[in-house]
Amino acid sequence: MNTGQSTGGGQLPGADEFQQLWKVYDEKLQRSLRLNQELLTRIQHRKVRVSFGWQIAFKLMVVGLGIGCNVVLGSLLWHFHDNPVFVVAAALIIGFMSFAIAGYFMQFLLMVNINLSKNILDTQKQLAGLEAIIVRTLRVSFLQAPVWPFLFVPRVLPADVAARYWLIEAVVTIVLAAAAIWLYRRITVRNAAGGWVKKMVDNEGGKSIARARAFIKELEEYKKG
Amino acid sequence: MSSPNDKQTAFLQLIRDNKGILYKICHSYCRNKDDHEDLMQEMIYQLWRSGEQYDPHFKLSTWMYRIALNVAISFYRKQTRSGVRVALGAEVHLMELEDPGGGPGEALEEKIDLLQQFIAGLGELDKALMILYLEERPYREIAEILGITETNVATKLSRIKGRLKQQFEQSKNLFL
Repeated sequence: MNTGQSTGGGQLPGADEFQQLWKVYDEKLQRSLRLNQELLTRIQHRKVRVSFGWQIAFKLMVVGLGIGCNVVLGSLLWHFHDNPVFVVAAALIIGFMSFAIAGYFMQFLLMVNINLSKNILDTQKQLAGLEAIIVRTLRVSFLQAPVWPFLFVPRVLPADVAARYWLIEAVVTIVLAAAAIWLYRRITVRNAAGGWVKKMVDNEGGKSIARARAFIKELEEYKKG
Repeated sequence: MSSPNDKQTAFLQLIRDNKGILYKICHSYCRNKDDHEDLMQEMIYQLWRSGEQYDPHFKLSTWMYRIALNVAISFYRKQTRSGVRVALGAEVHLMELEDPGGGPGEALEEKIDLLQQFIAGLGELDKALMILYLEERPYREIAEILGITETNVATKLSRIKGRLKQQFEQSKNLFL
């Protein structure tokens, strides 16, 4: 395969010396590099899809669960349409869920379509785009957390418990909102050193939206020359 | 139609014929010995499972470089281990360098080291470009592998080689 074809024009004087040096290195490797036949054969029989296998299945499962959840919420919305608090909360959650479903479905499509034998710039752009979608879906999904307690607000509250109920509701909402905003902001920044946040994002298959975007930009600039 | 055994044998031959290239890519993108084995196995595994995606319109070398370099760049960016390494023992590696005896000589070894250091210091895309140039791939093939124009290949290579020459001049005064 290493045919030693000409590189064409555009070389600086003496530049071929680097290629000659590389050839010497290659000759040395050809003489001294030993391939472990047994390990090589074992790799061929590896059944696990290392790269995206379990993640593809997970994304599909989340899409299925999300659709199921939206169907249930939709039917509850129909049933409790006379409760304005429930209607607004359910509609918001359905909106967030739909965003997440779309995000996970896009991740699934990208993962299935990633082909490592395509050119490097396109493949790396796809991979970086996938990272960005993973992180964006995850962080936006957390924003629905403060809306959930409103699903359980009864249409009519007895006057003697109403004040206490709304106080508890307000505290829970504030705590959940603070947590959601914290997570949203935490996942946006470079989280490579971010302990459990890093683990959570890593498990989703990506690391940092900022880094992914920077790399996409770098790839575009590289293509321009 | 070829049998699974034929495919396995052909693949083993492909890896044997190109073990040097795979080693050089692996070594350029991953200087850490601990991660070396992971990257090497990942490249070979992805080559094996991408066999069905081979498009005969492209040269076999184009296909192989694309996969190996895509895997290496992704590995380099994430610096994560797949954790599913096939192992026969802690000290058994897929590729190992044995002392061949009668090496190229100390001066040449130093130059090769310097060249490797320079490549290691390049960005992930320039690194791929430089490896392909050193492997004497034609500009057209480099452009196909990377997904840029031939003119772009020439411009970038000229810039990188200029820097490389400068570095060689500064550190060892070996060229020119």
